[in-house]
Amino acid sequence: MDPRIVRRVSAFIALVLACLYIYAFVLNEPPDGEGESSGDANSPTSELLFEGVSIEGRSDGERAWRISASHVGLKDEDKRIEIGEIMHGEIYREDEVYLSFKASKGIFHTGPGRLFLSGGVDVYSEDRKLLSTDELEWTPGDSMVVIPGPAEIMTEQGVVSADSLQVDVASDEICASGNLTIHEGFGGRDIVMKGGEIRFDPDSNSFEAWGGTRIEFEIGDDD
Amino acid sequence: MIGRARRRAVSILVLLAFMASAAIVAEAAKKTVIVEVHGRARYEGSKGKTIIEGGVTIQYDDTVIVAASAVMDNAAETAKLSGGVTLTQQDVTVTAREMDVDLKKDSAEVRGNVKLEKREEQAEKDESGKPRISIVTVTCDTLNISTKTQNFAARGSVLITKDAQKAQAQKADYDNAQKELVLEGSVFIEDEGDKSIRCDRATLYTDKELVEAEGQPVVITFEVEE
Repeated sequence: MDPRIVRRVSAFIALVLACLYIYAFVLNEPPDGEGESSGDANSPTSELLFEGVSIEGRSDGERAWRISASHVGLKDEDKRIEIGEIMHGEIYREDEVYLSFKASKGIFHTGPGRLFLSGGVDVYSEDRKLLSTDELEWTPGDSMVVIPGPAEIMTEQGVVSADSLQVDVASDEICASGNLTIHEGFGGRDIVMKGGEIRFDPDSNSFEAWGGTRIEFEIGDDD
Repeated sequence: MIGRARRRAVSILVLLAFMASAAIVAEAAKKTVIVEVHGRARYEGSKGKTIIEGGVTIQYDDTVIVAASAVMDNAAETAKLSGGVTLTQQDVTVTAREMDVDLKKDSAEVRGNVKLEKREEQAEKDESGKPRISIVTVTCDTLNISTKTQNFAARGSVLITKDAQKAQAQKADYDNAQKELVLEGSVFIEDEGDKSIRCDRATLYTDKELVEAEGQPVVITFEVEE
């Protein structure tokens, strides 16, 4: 074979290999740590992971919440703290425990100072179960606990289902939006309250509604 | 063998038919009550009360009750309405100062300035051949009405008007199926043309011009043209 042709073919192959190297290892360089084992699959993605810890949030210098969880992960990039398996949490009002809770997961966004709880969230008032829901959002700055999805209120006389709820920590009010179903509320049958504004007073176990409310229930023999 | 299988199949069919009819009867006995709160309502638990102020409308079956305020007993399924009450059902309207409603028994007791108006089709036809319509009015101190049958019992200073006819009594009981209004106690009935009847007991028919008077004595007064 002509040595010139051999040199040209060799040079071409070397050029193609060089281009592939630059494409694979320079232009598409994987980030540090990617592809390495991330440890426990259930642990929150984090830069720092603490196990079996208690953390505390403050608002205007006052203690706003405290959480004991199985693990806590700090993620500075997203300015958030991921909390897993919250065994006990506390919401404070004037430096005293106002409500306590437990949940499967929590995320605290350090920027707006907002705490999200999710997965089997149970809220207690003085050791009595008050609310049960799947999602809860709390911003200590505006003292409002928001439950966007369905929730159950445990009253002394039974369970009440609400489409959504807001708990005003400052004024001690629980306000419901959408439909509110009081189970076995009238003559042993369910009552549905719709529309208007509905407020629950945990102290007196009573509901107050105003602004065009419709109450529906069934009566008559059902046996 | 075939006979036994057929008997078994018939027995199952009869049982299913019985169960279906029982379910239909149970469903029919249930009714939905809708309470429209125009002002404010306070629900105090299944064994407590529901207090409504600022206007309320209660609807069930074909009955509509409007009142200024209501106190409902959540366990007993009753309601006390006050501040001016109006009950409307089909061709009957009752107004009063206050009303006690038993939602389970389909009954209501009204008190204070009670007025009942009933639009009644008459047996007699008008010129176009359609039944003539009369308005029967009852005023009294208290009135118990069944919203299931529209039967009622009026008590205390009962005054009844129907077209040109006026009747007074101490009490009156109405049977809607028979269209019979039975008056008792110092009955006095006036008709047009200065005709009148005094008796102990009388029956007025709300769908026809007929009065039956009873008692000792029955005094009938009418004018004779000379």
